[in-house]
Amino acid sequence: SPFRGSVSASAALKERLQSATLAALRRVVDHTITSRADFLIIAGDIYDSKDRNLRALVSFRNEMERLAERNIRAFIVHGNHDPLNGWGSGFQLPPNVVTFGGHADTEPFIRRGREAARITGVSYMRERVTDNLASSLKPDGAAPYSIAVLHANVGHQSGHADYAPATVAELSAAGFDYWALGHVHTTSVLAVEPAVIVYPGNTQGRNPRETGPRGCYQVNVDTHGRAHLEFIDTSIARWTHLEISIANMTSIGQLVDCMLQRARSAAGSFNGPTVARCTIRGNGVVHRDLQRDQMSEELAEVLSSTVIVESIRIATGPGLDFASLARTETMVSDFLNLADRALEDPELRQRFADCLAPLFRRKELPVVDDARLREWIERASALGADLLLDI
Amino acid sequence: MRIESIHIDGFGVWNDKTWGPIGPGLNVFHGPNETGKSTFMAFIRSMFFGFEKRGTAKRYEPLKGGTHGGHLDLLVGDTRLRVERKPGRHVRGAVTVYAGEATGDETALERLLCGTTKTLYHNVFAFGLEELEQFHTLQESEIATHISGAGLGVGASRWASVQKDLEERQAALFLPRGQNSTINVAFKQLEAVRDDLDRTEHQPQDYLTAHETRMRLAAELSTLEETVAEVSRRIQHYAKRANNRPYMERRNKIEGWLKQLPQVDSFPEGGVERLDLLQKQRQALLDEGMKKDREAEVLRLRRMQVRADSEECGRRGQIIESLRSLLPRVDAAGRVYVAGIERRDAIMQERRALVTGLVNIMPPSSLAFGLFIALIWIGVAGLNVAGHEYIGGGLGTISVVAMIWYRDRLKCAAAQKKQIQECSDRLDTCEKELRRTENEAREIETEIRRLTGKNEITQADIDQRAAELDRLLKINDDARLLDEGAARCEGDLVRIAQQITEIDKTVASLLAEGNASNEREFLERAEIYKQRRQLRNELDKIPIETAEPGLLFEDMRADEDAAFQAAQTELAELERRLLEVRHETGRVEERIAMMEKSEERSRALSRQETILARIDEAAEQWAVITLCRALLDETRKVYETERQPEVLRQASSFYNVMTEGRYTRVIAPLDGGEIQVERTDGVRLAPQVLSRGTAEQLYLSMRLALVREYANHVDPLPIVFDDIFVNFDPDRSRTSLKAVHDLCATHQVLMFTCHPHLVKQVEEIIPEAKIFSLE
Repeated sequence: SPFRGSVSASAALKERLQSATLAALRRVVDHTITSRADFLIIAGDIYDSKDRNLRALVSFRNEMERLAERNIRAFIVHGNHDPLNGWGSGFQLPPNVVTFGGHADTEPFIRRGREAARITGVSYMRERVTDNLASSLKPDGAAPYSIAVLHANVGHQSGHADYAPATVAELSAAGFDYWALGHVHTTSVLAVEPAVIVYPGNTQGRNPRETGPRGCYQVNVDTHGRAHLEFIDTSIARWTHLEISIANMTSIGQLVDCMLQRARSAAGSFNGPTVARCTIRGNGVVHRDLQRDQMSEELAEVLSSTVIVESIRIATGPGLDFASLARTETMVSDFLNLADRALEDPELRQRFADCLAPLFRRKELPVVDDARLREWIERASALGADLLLDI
Repeated sequence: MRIESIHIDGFGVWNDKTWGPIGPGLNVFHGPNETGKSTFMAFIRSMFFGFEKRGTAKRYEPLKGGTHGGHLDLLVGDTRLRVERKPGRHVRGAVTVYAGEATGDETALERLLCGTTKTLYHNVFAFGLEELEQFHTLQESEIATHISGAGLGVGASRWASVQKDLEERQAALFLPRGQNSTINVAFKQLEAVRDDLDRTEHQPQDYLTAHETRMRLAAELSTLEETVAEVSRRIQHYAKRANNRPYMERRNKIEGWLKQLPQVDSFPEGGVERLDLLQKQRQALLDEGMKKDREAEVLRLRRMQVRADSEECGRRGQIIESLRSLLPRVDAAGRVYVAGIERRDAIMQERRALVTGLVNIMPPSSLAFGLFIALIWIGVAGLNVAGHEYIGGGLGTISVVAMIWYRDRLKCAAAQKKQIQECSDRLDTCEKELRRTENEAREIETEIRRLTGKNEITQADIDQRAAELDRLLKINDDARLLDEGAARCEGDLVRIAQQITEIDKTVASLLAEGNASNEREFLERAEIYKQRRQLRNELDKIPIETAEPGLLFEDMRADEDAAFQAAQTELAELERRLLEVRHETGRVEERIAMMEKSEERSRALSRQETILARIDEAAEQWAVITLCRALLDETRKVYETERQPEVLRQASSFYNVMTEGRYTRVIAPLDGGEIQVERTDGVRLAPQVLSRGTAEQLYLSMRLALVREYANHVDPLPIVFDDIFVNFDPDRSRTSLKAVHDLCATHQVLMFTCHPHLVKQVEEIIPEAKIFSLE
C-alpha cells in the first residue's frame, strides 16, 4: 500500500516516498539474496486488494522473480487486506513462490537433498476471519524445524482488527519452533521459549504513527534448532514523532532549538529521509506566541532544514494553573470540569463523540477510537480555556 | 483585594498626584466635567491590565509631564503590595509587583488577579456608561452568553468572539454541506482521485484479461501453426500427386497390359538367336551331308574305273630306291678307293722318302732296316697285289732312299725311323680302308647284280626304271586317293549325322527352357517375354510414390483437384489468421508491458493517501474545535441550569432593591432566549420595553450579581463606576446606591461622578463613604 502523509518535499523526494513501500520490499529481497537466505516468508497483507494496484502486484511478482532467478523459495500467506477471494490473489507468481491456501497446509523445505524445515501456513479466505486460525495449524513431530506462518492478531493488540485472534500461550503450546506472524505493523518478539513468536512488523512505516525502524527479521537457525534473530531495517524513509512540551519554556527560540535538536537526533539515527510529525504540547507562556497565524508553517520551514516535515501540530495551552482555575467555580472551571468529566465518563464522552458524526460518519475517515477521542477532548479543553481566557 | 492608595506619575491630564488612604468601602471621587474622572478609571484599568495600544486616546500618554504610569498600593489578604507600571518594551508597559523585598512581573500580577481577564474586568468590575449599555446593544441571542460570559469572567464580546472564532475555524475546516472548507475541498479532490481510481479500476482486470488473452492467443497460435503445417503437407501431397498423375496413369496402363499378357516371367537368354543359330547349323549340316553323299557317289564310280597294284609298285620302288642308294655308294667307294690309293701312294712315297732319308741319315740297323725293307716290301707286295706295282716300286725306291737317308743321317735315323713307322701305320690304315672299300665295292656289285642281273648300272637305267615306277605309282596314288576320299566322305556323313542329333538335343533343351512345346510357341513366348520385359523396364523407370496411408484412396482422385484447391484456400485463410493472431499477440503483449509500466493507478492511490492524510489532519483539528464548541455549549447549559440561578438570584435581589420591589425577578430562559424581568404582578418584560433608567438598573443589578458571584471564588477585586447613574432619577439613584451599599460590605468601590447631588445622596445614604474631590 502506498505511503500516507502529505509532506512538502521536492517532487523527486515525494516520488521516492510514494514508492517507498515497494522499494522496501526490494530491500527485503536484496537482503534475502545477499544474506544467502534459504527462503523468504511473508505473512500476509502483501498488497491491498481494495487498491487494485497493478503496479504493486507487478513489483511483487518482479521481486519474486528475482528470488526465482537465484532459486530462493518464498512462502506466503494471504491476510485480511489481500484475502484469497480478493482482487489479485489469482495473479501468476513464479513457481518458487508457495502460496498457502485457505486450509492449513505444510510444505517441506529441502536443502541439498535433505529436509531442513517444514513450513505450515494458512491464508485468509475472506477479509474478516474471526476464527482462531492458529488452532488449525499443527506441527509435524518429524520435522527438523517447524515454522508456522500466520496472519493474526495475537494477544488482542489494539489498533489492529482482531482477526484470527489467538494468544501467545496458545501459540507457545502449539509445538512449532517458530511462528512467523503478520498483521501487526510494529516489530515485536512476543516469545522466544519454547517457540519463537515474532511480528516483524511492516517493512516501511506508512503513516506518522508507524515510527522508528521498520523491516524484517533474518532468522538463523543453528544446528541445535535455536533461532537467532537479527532485525534488518528495510525502510526507505523513517517516520518520527517529535513530541515537545512547552511547559518549562520561556521563549519561542527555546522551542525552536529544542525542536531542531530533537529533529537532528532523529535524522542522525537513520540513513535516509526522516519524515517527522511534530506535536507541541503542554501549557506555558510560549503558547501565546504559538497562536499566531502561519506559526506551524513557519516552524515547519525551520524544521525542514533537518527533516521532512509531515506536520506541526500545536496542542498547547496557556500558561495557566488549570488546577486552580478548575477550583474557581467560574464558567472556565465549569468548562474544565466538564472536560474532565467527559474524560472520565465514557457515556458523556460518547455524547460528545456524536457531535463529530457529521464528518466522522463518512467512510473516508477512520472510526474514532476512544484514545483519540480522549486526546481530542484534552486538546479541546485546552483550546477552550485558552480562547476563553485569552486577552 | 483593595486599593490603599493611588499615585499617578503621568497619565493624561494627571501628573504626580496621590490619593489615599482609600477606604475599604465606597469611595466617591467627584469633580466637574473634564477634571479627569474617566482618565482616573482608565489609570486603574491600565495599572492592572496594561496601557492601551499606542495612538489610541485611551492610552492616555502624559500631557502634563511625569513618566507614563504610576503605582497602586494594594492590600491582598494581609499582604501589602505595590503594583508599579512604567513604559516598557511592550506596549502594555512594564509592571513590577513589590511584595516587601521581593519583586514580581506580569505573571505575579496575573496571579494576583486570579486570572481575571481584562475584558471581564472592563465589563464587570470597572465600567462606565458605555459598557453598561453594551448589554442593550448586544444581539438579543447573545444575552444569555453575555451573562454566562460575565459569570465566566469573560466579557460578552469575548465570549461571542470565542464562539465566532471557533465557528469560523470550524467552518474553514469543514461544513457538512460546504464547498470551500479545507475538508470539503479535500473531499472533492478525493472524489476526483476516486474517479481516477474508478476509471482505472478495471485496468488491473484488463491486465489479467490481457494475460488470459495472451495465453488463449498462444494456444491458438500453436494450433494454427500445426494446422498450417498439416495443410501444407496435404498441399504438398496433392501437388506431388498432380505431378505424378501421368506416371501413375502410364503405370496403371502398363500394369493392365502386364496383367493381360500371359505370365512369362522367365525366358532363356538370347533364346531366339540361339534357336536360329541352331536351326541354321542343322540346315548347314544337312546341306553338307547331301553334298558328301553326292561326292561319295562320284568317288565310288571313279574308283571302280581305276586298277592299282601297289605291291609291284612297292617292289619296283624299292629296287629303284636301292639302286638310287647304291649309285652314290659306288661313286663314293670309287672316289674313296682312288683317294685311298692316292693316299697310300703318297704315304708310301713319303715312307720311301723317309726310309730313303733314314738311309741317308744313318745307317739303319739291320733289323730296322730289314723291317723297313720288309715293310716296304709288304707295301710293295700289297701294292703289287693290288696291282700297284709302280707304287710298290716307288715305295721300294723310297725305302732305299730312306735307308740311304738313314744311313746318311745317323743322328736323325731314330726320328726318321719314327716317321717311317708312322708312315707305315698310316699306310696300314690306308690299306685297311682300301680293303674295306674293295669289300664294299664288291658288295655293291653283288647287290646290283641281284637287282638288275647286271653288274653295272647306269643312271639312265635307273631313270627308266624310275619313270616306270612313277607311272605305276601315280595310278596307285589315284586309287588310293579315291579310296581315301570315299572313306572321308563316309566319316563326314557319320559326323554330320551326329552333329545334327546334338543340335536337335540342344533345340529340345532350349524349348524346354523356354517352356515351349515347339519352336513356334517358343518364338511366341519369346515375343511375350520381350514385351513384358520392356513394360517392366518402363515401369521401373516410372518414379514410385511413397505410400501415404489415408491419402491414397482411389476414390479421392475424383475430388483431388477440388481438395487441392480447397486446401490452398484453407492455407491462405489459415496464414492470414496466423498473421492476425501474431499481430494480436504482439498488441496484447505491448499492452501488458504498457500496463505493467503504468503508474497512473498507483499515483492515484498515492494521491488518495496524501489527501486522506490531509483530511485526517484537518479532521483532527475540526474534531478538536467541534468538541471545544460542544464543551462550551454544554458548559453554557450547565451554567444556565446550575450556575445562572445564583447570578440571577443575586441580580433579582439587587434589582428588587433598586426598583423598590416593583420587579421581583430577573430571568434568563434556558432556550437561549433573551433575558427578561418579572414584575410583581408576574408579568415578564424584555429589557427593550423597559425605560432606559430601569433597563440600566437591570444591567447594573446583573453586574453587581456577577461581581458577587465572582467573589465567591476569587479574592474580591476593586470595583470602579464611572458616572453610571446619570440616567437615574433621584429615587432611582438612591435605590441604586442602596444596592451599591450592600455590595460595599464585601467589595471596595470607587465611584466617579460629576454630579454634586449624587455626592449629597451618598453622604446621606452611606455616611461612612469617603469623598475625594478631584479639583
